[in-house]
Amino acid sequence: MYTETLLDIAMRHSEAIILKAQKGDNQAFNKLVALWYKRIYNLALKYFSGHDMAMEATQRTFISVHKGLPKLRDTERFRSWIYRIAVNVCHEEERKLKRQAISIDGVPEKGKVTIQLATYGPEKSLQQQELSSLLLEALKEINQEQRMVVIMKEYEGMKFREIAEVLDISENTVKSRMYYGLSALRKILETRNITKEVYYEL
Amino acid sequence: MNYKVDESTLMAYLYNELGAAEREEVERQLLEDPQAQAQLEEFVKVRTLLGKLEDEEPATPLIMNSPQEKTIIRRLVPWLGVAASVCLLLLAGYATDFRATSQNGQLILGFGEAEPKIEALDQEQVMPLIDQALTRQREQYSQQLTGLQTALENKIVDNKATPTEVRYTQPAPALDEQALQAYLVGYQQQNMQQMAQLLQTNTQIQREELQTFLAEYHQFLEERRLQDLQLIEAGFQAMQDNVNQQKSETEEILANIITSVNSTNY
Repeated sequence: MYTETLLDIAMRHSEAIILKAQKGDNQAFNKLVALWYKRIYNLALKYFSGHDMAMEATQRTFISVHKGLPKLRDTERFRSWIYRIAVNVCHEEERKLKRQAISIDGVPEKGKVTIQLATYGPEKSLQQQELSSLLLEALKEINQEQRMVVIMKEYEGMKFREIAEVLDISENTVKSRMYYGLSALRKILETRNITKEVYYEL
Repeated sequence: MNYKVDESTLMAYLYNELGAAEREEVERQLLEDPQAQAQLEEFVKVRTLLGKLEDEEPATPLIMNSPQEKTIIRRLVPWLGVAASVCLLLLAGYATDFRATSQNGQLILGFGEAEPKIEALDQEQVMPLIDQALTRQREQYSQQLTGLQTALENKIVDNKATPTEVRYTQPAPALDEQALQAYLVGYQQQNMQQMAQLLQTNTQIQREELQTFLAEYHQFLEERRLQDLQLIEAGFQAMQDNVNQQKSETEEILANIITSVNSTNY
């Protein structure tokens, strides 16, 4: 569940930094990167379920942000703007992955492209690590549009209205994707027996 | 009224994005629709599980020092580490005059100038030396014997020249087997002493070599230790600088927040 942190508050009040970065202040841009790095990385990490792809998408997102920032007119919409860039980058990278996965005879081969799942530090217990890996795998299995909505809602704490703005779709479509995304996840988690009490207690 | 909670409304209710009146209406309808109620409970469970997936701290820093260059420094960071290690190794090798040479099919690693090799003598190499020494001794012995034989022959000639009565009145010469045996024993002892001396010298040389090697290795380890300590100190210093920078940035952000909050209040 999403919980607002001090960093999130700072992100919401970073207009001065955005304005400076727009004028070409590299130090301000670096601060902007520092503020948003973790959020974009985690969005991509949950989308791809792998560190390398997440880093690639994060890097590309910030390059696009740097390119497009001077053209951003409404700095108050920076949050939805940066998320839109990140979402587009993630979708592009996903398409690239799928192209690579298609074999010479044009038949997609399951598992041809292997994504290394995220690894966790010793601070997490084995059960927590196992659950995190299982949840990432479950997320990876659902439809990519539903997956992105679930991630933005569950982990980025965005309102349905904000998600609709980022994805440029109606609010009802967002809710519908959320509904079917959660339903698909429920089935996957049940199939893998992840709905055990032991996981709820972690 | 047979009202059914639709997908969108259920989602809005699940994520608490309904107004008070709508919320009450949905709750009322859920009481009449056990299927929707069960589905809602399932979604709550799924959300609880999803909430167990926490944010991860990015493992590598994303540094964009000069965005104009569009340089992907992040990709270089692991290679920079490798390059730094290689440079450090080369520098250490240069400082310690590290050598790696191949000789007789053997790889020889060492430090400093290549010293003339004093090889340990094995049995096959010692044997010819002993043979040489024995041959030399044998030649000397042979020369001495020849000298003795000559002297003996001269004596015989003298004896023959001497009248018989005079010859038998004089005592016989003292050259007998006992003296020869003693002479040979003396030579054997001398040979053994030389062999013992040879082996002793060899052992002494090897001991000195080993001591020199140990001294050099100790010196190398000491230098390595000092270099490591310097590296660690530099690392701590860099970490301290980083922390200070982050601290000042955090303070600046907090100041921005406070300013924003204050301006909102007024």
